[in-house]
Amino acid sequence: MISLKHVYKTYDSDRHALRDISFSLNSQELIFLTGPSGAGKTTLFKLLSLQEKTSSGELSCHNKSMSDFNLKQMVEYRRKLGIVFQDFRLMTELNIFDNIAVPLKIQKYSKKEISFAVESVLERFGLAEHAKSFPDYISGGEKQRVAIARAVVHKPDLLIADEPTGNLDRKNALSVLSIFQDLSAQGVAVMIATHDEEFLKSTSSRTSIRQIHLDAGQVLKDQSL
Amino acid sequence: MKIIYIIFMSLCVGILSSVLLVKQNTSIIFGDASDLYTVNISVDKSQSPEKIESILQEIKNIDKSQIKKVTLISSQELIADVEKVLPNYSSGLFEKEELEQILNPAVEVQLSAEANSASIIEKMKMITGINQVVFSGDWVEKFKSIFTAANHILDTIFILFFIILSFLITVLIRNLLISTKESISLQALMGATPQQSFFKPFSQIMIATFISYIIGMAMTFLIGAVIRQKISENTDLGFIHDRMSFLNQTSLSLIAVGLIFNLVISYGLSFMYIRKEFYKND
Repeated sequence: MISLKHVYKTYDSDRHALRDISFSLNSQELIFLTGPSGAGKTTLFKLLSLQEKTSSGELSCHNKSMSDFNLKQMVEYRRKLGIVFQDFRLMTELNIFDNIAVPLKIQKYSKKEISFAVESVLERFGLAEHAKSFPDYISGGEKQRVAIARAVVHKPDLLIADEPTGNLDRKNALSVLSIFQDLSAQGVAVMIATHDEEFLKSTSSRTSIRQIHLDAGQVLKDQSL
Repeated sequence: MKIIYIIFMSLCVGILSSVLLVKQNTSIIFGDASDLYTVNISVDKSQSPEKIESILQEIKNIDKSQIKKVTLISSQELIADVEKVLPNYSSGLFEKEELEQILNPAVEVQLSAEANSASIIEKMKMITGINQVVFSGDWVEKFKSIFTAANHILDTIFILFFIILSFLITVLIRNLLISTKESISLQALMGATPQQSFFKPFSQIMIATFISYIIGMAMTFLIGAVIRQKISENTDLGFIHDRMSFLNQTSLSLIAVGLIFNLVISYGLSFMYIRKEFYKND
């Protein structure tokens, strides 16, 4: 589905954020991207979400080079993508229901479909009672769950999550992990960036799980768990 | 923040439309075409009614094709006009008979626009019993340069405030873009098209501009109404009151088209910025 071949990302001509990255990500695969801060995880996510362009190498989706994407293809690709941001990036002027509904509204779902889809994820993530609350009035853990709910509500083909359990306690973190595994089992390609390697040990063997360890912009380890 | 912009934009629209209002009504200071071709004749007061009748006939006979209308304004009518503007306490200060001695009967002659005014006026001056001949066109000519300068000033004010208004709209859009940058970038990442992600801030700008247009026009309408009210209190300026008009279709459209033009330009620039910033793939 997604393939990276000898991808480099360089800033200011001499600062290498990513060096010679090559791997592929397929449906039903769950990849943990591990590594210390500054390893290049966020940069890799920016490339995958088309916020940045590779300096060299090829990043492709279904064998089509993503650097050749025109506006329409870019929009279509992003509509099949779910992103969980490290800092949540919730819209403070919208309530939780409307925040989760944003990807569906963008894709012009009907009101009925939006209502059904949002209510089911609210239920699934234990957020039903906060539907009318605003992001500033819920806890960090709840914001995290809203961010994840928003990323999965439109059933993406690819889900990328940057430190999605960073603000959650162990119990909630495991619950979120279980959701990611469910999504993966349903055919979604999931990539989770985390610096918490202990977290990996909590995974069950329901799906194919891989760990890609990055350090200083390079892949040091790419293994199945 | 939007409210401050609405206030400033309303003021700009108000000033722009007021300038247009003044420009549109400038003709009432000059007078209209009939005023331009009017000759005011003062007849010697010693003339008998029969002689005055004969003077009127002589005037008409100068050039029947070029003299459209000849109207006699008697001393009594002139006195009545004077009395209208005098305060109540002045009654009894003058005897009507005394005023009749002072005021000469007047004749108002309307010439056609194509008339050879100089020649006609010369002929009028030669008629016995005529005291003074004043051609309105001469008065207008004397003040034309002043009015031309005033018109240039009005044009400059209009252009200046149009530029300020354009600048305000640009600043408003820029600031709204900055304040909604996070939301726009987030929507872009979720697959919104540039139009979709910019729809909300741009509709807010359109509403703010529309409100400013309405407020600005209402301000001008109010100013126009106050001026008209003040004028109506002065009978001497009655002709202005009758002729004064509010902004016509052209003036209203001119400002509206200007605002739309500004919005279109700003939308284009913002759209380019959003594409460059959040949909870069080059």
